[in-house]
Amino acid sequence: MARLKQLVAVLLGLHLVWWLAAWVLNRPILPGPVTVYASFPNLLHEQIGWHIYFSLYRLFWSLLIATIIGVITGMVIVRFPKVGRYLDPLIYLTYPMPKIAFLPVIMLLFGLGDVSKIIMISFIVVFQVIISVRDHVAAIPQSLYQTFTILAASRWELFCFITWPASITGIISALRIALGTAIATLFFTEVYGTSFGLGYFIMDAWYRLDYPGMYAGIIVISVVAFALFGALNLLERLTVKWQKDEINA
Amino acid sequence: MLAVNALSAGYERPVIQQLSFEVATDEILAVIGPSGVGKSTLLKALLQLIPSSGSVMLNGNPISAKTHTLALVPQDYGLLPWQTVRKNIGLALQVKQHHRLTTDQQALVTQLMATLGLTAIADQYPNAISGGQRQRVALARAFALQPDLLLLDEAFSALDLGLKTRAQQLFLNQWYAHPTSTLLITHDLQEALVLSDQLLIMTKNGTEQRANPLAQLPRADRPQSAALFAAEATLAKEVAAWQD
Repeated sequence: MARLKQLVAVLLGLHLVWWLAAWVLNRPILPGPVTVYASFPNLLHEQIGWHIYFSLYRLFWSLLIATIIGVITGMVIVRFPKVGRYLDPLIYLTYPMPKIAFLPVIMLLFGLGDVSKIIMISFIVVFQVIISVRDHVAAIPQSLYQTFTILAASRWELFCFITWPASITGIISALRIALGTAIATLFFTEVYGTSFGLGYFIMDAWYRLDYPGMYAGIIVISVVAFALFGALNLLERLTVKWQKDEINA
Repeated sequence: MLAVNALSAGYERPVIQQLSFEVATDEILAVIGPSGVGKSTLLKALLQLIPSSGSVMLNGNPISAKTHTLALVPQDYGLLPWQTVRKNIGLALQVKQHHRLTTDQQALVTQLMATLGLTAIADQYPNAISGGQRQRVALARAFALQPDLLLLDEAFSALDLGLKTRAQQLFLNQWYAHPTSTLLITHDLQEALVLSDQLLIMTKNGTEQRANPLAQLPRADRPQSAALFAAEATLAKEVAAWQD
């Protein structure tokens, strides 16, 4: 209940600032909240449901691919140090590169459809997943492995009982960071080769100088992102029960 | 019985050189010495977690995780944070046996939890229990294995004095019920004198195995004994002198 109150307070504050800014600026480029919300019924005519569906579809596949590649790579770097010695510098060397600059190459190789969009987003967020999972696996105390190694545990058992459960928090926190980046990248990728997706919707409204529609699209993308963060929090609560009720002992 | 002969081990340079000692099946050997002298290296070498030379025989055969049951209680207790107390205890047994726990083994886990006062927190996670309780879970896990060799690596060090005495008493009660070759690695001379039958004194200038001067006293009486403080003072002086 307290969280709901905080959320309402934040939303009210945000809207107040928005309304004041619109009032001070007094230009069509920044309509006030009332004008924007009044345009919401139009969203249904403009098939907003399909725009949300296509954006979610692209986000889902790109995050899934980035998570699978990122989790495997992050674990391999730590658990197979001989391979890690080569992978680690490679990751650090390529992580700071502006990957969006490769968009023309990816478009050329994979076309203008969903495949190039999904690959672009995966390519950008996979590094965040790799680094987060690698750090979480590297932070597992050696005593955990030692306790089970001396019981003749197999590599598979060590993975199932130690490495995998320890990585789950890393995966979820990586997804939380990656989600923000993924949505920002999604926006870029939806401005070409499609007439569906929230990125397209916002840019299309902008080109038509439909500013209330553009801001309505921004609000929709924010609400979708908020719901996805909420879903991640729920997933964390369901899978990482052991982190609750921590006490200082 | 654990028989170590001419054991040498280390990382870049040997930390342990030509070390030999024995621990009978109903004996606790305390390995004492200052920090950085190689106590943990010795433990890793015994468990074959690092390369070593020399021979380590357990009950007449070369020590091996596959043929022997080895149990370790590390300083941080090595509990899996994502498993409950009951599962932490049972899982070690399950991994060792490569099958799910039988009814008898489940009963053993339940009985050990009762003996060590863990029944009320059986379904809690390690993050939600106190340090003293975590230490007892680690002990229960080790005893559930009914090991051929039990290794305690500074297992009582993180506890405050009151908890430490209680934990040591609980440990001894359980150990008397199922004695096994035990190596107690500690930097606490009093703990070594209270719990052990023999001492392995490690300093940078050499090692020496000798009987605990309090070995004639029952372990339960040692904490109250004036001889404990005298022996502790003498030992502290000796270790300090050896170190110089």
